[in-house]
Amino acid sequence: MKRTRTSSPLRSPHAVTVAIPVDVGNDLDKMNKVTREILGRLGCAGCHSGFDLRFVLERDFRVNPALEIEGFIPRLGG
Amino acid sequence: MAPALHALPDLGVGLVLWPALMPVLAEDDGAIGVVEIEPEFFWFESGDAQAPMRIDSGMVRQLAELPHHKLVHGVAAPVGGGIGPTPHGLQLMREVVQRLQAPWASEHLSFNAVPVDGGPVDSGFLLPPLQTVESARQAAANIRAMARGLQVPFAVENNVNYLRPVAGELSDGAFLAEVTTLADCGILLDLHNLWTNEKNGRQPVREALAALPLERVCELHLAGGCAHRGYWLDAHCGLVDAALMELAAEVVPALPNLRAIVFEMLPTALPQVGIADVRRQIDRLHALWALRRPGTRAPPSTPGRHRDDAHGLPSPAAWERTLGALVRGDAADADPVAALLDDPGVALLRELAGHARAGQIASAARLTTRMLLAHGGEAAFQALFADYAARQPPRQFASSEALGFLDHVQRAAPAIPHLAQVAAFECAVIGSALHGNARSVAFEGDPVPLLTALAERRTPPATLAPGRFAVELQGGAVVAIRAY
Repeated sequence: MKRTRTSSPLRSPHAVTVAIPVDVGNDLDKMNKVTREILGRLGCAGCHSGFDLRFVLERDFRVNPALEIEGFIPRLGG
Repeated sequence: MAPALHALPDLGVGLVLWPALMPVLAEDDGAIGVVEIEPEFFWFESGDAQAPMRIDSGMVRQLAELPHHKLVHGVAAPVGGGIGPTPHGLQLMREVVQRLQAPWASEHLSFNAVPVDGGPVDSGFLLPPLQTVESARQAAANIRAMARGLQVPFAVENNVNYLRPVAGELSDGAFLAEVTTLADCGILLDLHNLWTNEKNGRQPVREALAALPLERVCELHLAGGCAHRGYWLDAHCGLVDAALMELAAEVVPALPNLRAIVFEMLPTALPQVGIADVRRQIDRLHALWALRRPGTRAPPSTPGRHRDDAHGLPSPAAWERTLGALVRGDAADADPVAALLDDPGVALLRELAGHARAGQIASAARLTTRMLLAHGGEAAFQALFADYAARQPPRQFASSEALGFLDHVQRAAPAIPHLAQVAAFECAVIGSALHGNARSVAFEGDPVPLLTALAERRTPPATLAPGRFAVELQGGAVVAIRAY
């Protein structure tokens, strides 16, 4: 692991800051893909007067480690 | 009728546009003439009292560049209640209308907030107004204010109503006719809403249509629904039912000023419906469009007898106060509207409003939601959500609902490894994006495999690479990951 000093505002005067060891750029890309997902959904919900499926989709949607969709059958009440 | 309503342009057939539906446009061969935009989807609450909301201007720019006609359909400022449009909300909506060059705009004949202790409290759902002449006057005043503020013709959309009709109130058709005549506005005729009301025991569609001034209809909405606990729901969860398409084919020739037919489907339905079927739905709307008879006269309406005195009926304010409290799960006030206390539709509305809140959270705080589901299943989510929902009123914008829930998760601190850090990360992403500032989030363990697994809906890793890390954010983007 390569150790570098940085000027992070979080660093205490006695700390040695260690940079992330590998492909930081790749990690930033991955992380910003994550943040874009979060930021794409901050407004109002769409127009409808029905059953909001967004939680159900999260609850019932499954993918395996190879990112293959294992199935989605939303379970609604009654 | 206002001359401007006669002069609206023909926009053709289209759909309510969501980012997930962009592929429909990408391979469009000209079948889609108009896209309808729900502007509050890309508005954000700023936390600034002077300008409480702001627009994602990048999104507006992208939409403006689309070659299609655009319509603006509001969802956050319905006109059917005692709380009218705010100057700031009108200013933002006008900006979107102007940037997108929308020839008209629309909103719902519902209410979604009531005054409590001097300030508006969200109901968490679009709720039906009491259908009296007094209520119609209130809605007409809101519509006139909105039309003045937006500076384009305005159309009001007939609302869904899961409640039983109240003895003495106006019928669904007569109420809409009264509102639109008083406001001198257009009608966005949502045929699925009327059909839903009929299927749930309210006025039959054809009877409601007979009461309407059909020459005011400038836009038609069609959507799919689903059955739930004995009700038909206006869920926008699929294609338009064949029976409703037949009804639409009967109705369209009677709408001489119809300028647009719009298909409504939520993006959550797309995985099951598929892009190909959305395209086929658009083709079927073209067959309806071909049935128009512009230049003919609409059939005369028969609005029936109005009861101006509304004898024995509650005031609109009392109705909204009682219904709002019951749907939020609060105790009704000292003098509640009796008709609402034993209406089973209220329980349905409360259930749907609860799912809408959970949906807002699952949407904007999705990593934390997935973390809870991965470690404790639905019970883990519901335990925190029920406690949060009992303490906090609904918030209209997903950002505010998510921030409130994420704060609650961090305070409750359930014993799930790294949950509080994931919640803090989502808080920081949203907060730094809304305020354009810098935030830093500390992690015990390498956060990248954890957060990317959650984002990709994979099971989060059981252990993280050891170390103390800080994720630094600026304006909603990760600008550095540091290890100590």
